[in-house]
Amino acid sequence: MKKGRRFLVLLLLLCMTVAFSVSGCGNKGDGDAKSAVAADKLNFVELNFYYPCSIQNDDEVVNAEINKILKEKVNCSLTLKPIDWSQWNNKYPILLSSGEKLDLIFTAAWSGYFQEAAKNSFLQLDDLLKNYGKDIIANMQDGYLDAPKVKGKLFAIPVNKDMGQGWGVVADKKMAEQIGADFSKVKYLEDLEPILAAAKEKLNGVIPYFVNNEQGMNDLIGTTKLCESIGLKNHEKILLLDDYIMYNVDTGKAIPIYEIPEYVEQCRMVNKWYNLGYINNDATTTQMTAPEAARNNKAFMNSADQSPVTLSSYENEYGKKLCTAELATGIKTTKTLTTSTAIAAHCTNPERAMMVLNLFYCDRKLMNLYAFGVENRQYILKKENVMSLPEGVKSIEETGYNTGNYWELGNNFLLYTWDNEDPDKWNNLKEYNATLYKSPLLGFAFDNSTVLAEVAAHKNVNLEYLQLLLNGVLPPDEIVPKFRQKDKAAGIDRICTEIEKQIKVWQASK
Amino acid sequence: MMQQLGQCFNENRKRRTFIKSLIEYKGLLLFVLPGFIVVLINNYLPMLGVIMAFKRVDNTLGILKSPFVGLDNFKFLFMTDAFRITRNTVLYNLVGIFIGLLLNLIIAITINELLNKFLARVYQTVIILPYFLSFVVIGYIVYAFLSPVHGFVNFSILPLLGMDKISWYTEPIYWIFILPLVNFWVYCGMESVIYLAAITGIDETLYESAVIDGANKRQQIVHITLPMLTPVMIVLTLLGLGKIFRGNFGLFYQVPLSNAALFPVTDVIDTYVYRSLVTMPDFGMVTAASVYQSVVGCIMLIAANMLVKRISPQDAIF
Amino acid sequence: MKNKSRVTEYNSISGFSNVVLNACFIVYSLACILPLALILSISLSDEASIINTGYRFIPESVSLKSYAFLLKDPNMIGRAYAVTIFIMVAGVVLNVIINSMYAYAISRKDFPFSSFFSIVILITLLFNGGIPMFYYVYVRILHLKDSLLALLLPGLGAGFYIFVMRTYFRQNVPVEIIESAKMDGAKETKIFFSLVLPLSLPILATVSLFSAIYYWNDFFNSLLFIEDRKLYNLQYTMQRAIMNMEFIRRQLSLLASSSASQISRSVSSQVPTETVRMAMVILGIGPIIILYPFLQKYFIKGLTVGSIKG
Repeated sequence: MKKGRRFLVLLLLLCMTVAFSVSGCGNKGDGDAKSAVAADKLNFVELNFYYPCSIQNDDEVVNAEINKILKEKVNCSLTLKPIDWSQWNNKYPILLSSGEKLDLIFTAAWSGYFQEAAKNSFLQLDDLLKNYGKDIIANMQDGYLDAPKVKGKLFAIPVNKDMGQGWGVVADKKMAEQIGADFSKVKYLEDLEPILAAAKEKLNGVIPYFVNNEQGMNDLIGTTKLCESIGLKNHEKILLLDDYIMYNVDTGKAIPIYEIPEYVEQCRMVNKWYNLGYINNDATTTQMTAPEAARNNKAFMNSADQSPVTLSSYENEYGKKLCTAELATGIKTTKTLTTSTAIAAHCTNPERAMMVLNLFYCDRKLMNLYAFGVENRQYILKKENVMSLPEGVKSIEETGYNTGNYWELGNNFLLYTWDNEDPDKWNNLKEYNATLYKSPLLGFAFDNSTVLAEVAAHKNVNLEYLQLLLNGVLPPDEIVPKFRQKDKAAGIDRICTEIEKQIKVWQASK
Repeated sequence: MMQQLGQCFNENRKRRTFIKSLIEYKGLLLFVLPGFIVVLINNYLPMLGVIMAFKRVDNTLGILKSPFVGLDNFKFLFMTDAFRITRNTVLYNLVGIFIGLLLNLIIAITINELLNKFLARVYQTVIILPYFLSFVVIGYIVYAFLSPVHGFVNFSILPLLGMDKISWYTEPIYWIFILPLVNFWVYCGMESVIYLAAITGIDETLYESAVIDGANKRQQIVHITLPMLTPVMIVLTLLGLGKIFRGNFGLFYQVPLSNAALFPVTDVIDTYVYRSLVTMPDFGMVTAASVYQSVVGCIMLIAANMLVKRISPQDAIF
Repeated sequence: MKNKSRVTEYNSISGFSNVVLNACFIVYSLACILPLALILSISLSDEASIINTGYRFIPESVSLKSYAFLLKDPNMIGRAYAVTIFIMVAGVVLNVIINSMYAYAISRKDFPFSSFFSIVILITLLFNGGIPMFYYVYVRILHLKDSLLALLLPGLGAGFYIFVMRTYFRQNVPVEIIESAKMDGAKETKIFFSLVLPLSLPILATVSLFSAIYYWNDFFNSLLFIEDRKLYNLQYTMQRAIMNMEFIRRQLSLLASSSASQISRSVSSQVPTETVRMAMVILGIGPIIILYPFLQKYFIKGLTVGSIKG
């Protein structure tokens, strides 16, 4: 055994030496490339762009067309690398930490932007933007470039698109007329109650308010009259931060959502609705999605975002005419403005990457190629800037390139519209954006690195109780004590104190 | 002085015999080589990643230069639900290992004893089928049975028995039985194949002489089959114990449809880690969880192995 | 002759036990087959009837649309099958050879390094360095991204098979045979291939089966290493749709953001319906079942052509 042991030690040492020297190999190359970059602007460079998107049949055709334009304008090629949505969350951290060839990458507040920026996965873009991103600056809507700043520095370029939206409900128009519901008078959540009662009574076999794991009352937080009185409904006084922690602008205090008695009152009402059968009793387990339920006439009403561009897309998706009611107005927050594109830390040619990105903010042809595909193949332009389906193609799904991901890159205001949409869609959106209320915390991003463990534990507690509370599955009086107790054990107080501290510092620095 | 010379001489002798055995067994060393290289690549090189558990990973500096943070990354495992997730993981694993062992043995032995060999083959083929399904699909199937809306159990079976509907997805207690049941349903068919193969290898003459001595079926099983299967049983049990802190993610996440009401009973270490980090990926913390699970499993395995060494030393794993 | 029949008489279970056992197995088999029948039924159903009445064992209205949809692009499916079959065959062969050789070497009690190499394998079963590091090794050090080797290599060197085979070799390969062969001057390779392997058919068949199923079912390695869609294997092609659906149902709520509805809209327009997803499951299992009966005879007693003895 003794000689075996010695052999073992020797072998382990050998392995470790091999491993360390070999891993050194992996990183060496990048250093050389970076130093060579500054020299020649006109040599051909290959870049790639990773983003979440379903794989399309014509991906390569579209990519080839994009590369034609890019070669002509900045002498480079961009390989589009769509990653399936279900894999995106798993893959992007691995891509960023492995140090492999990665140039442009999609990011967003909900896709780990702030975490990855803290981990130095992205390059700082302030100088690059100034030197190579002039069209970005020119075309970007006001306030957009403030949002993705981490400690005053920019680590990603936002996509120029909608800046926030209101929340409310959509309901089947025919059914609404059938039961005599008038949505124009609906201002608060409780105004829906008589409508739901009528729906329950008169519409047989139809769920009055459809809730599932994906959407439900979590989008309608604070939409009651009571909540309006404390400044929650329109976000004047109380703001919703990450992980359902609320911040009171007046008092400067951060508290978890169940500590707001007015909101708990809303949950009591929703719980009442759940018990009365207005909400489907399989809310936490149903496998149906809202579009499926709507298309098959199984549901009357469900939550939906509200903005000039969304109604028509909902009507298309559900296949019927809808009534809407807005219950919460839109607000521009850091979160809504950080769907963006970043340049990865190990990018071999950041200048060229920024130049390419810049093109997506000013070149109309390029932007529409990415969004909708190749002209005359995926669509034809009968009128200026208005698309129609090509001959013989019956629906948008059959064009061979239908990503629906136009909002992930570039300047959406360069996009064409379909012939069944409002041709002024994008102008309307611009105006709507200007009317949106600007959050007092816009530009603030919470750095959770000192309370990482508490945040992870708190997220788990949220997942356990939140849906039950928000969607009224169980009475709040039953859930809140348990929620509170577990949250305290998870360290919610430490998180709140840290948030308050950081906000004070940020406000002082402005 | 003479003693030191003597020691020197002995060490030289050991070194010489070491090199001698390398040469003498070079054939077998060549046998081991391909597997060894594969394992170096697949397991030992990546194992360096273990240091991430002790670091705050910085993607510009790379893994090697990222700052050390000691045991910080392990904290989140012990904050709120530590007891619950640990208890669940361990108990489900113990049930899976020991009752699974029993079931696998029963299946393997009885399949061999069936009189109609054709039927035996048919059963054996059918019972491995569940292994092919992914847990996502199994989640759908379980939902088809237990759904509050159209589920077979609530709408077809319980009414026949005159019982009230049960809300399966909000009552944790049933899942203590449902999850192991699904686990056995998926794995027993396949795992029993190992025992079947082992039984096939048992020398026929042992049975023949036992029969001549007048042994009946039960005695044959107890005195021949089981003892001959003991080494395999021990190896599989030891390996299972080495994974005692690892939960089967597919089973515990997909099948209960990640329903929060069921967490007290369905939450295991792996699902807890997943939920904590899915919106906030941090490789340091993920690796820390894995290291935690490995270390405990290792200790378990060593302890169990020592126990086995005392009882039947030739079956110990090392 | 007479003795033999008496022996076999005593060596069988009673007729009553046989009936009871058969009954138990019929119930167990039904429990395994019914869910698959359900999946088959869903895949043959009309989409609307699924939403309205839920799953049914016998479809309310039969429709072959789901299979037509899947087979619309025979190139993609054919290619996926080809990749999977190739990887599976290569993988099984390599797996059996590499692992059995390793297991045999450490099963030999006279091999002085047997416990060292056993521990080497044992450690790999207990500790792993995590997926990011695994990815780093394969993509950055070995440059195996988008290569078939990346699908093949991770499945080799499986400690579990090695330990099971080691146990089998120790028990079923008599030391005397090996010693006498060595005294006759036979080399290790000859002993292994002509003596040991033929004695070990059951365990080889078992390991072949397990690794065949591993390679057939594997989509994780494709997920990690394959971006070139020409190299997608069958399970990955099929699972993608199901996983995308699960993403909408489960993960999207975790994102809780204003973009959720946009994401949901763009993903769900791509995800095929329930019936198509179930058809994918059926197509994903199908072929391996055909292979199975050929291997089966090696590990059910009484079906093997008698083992070589003496």
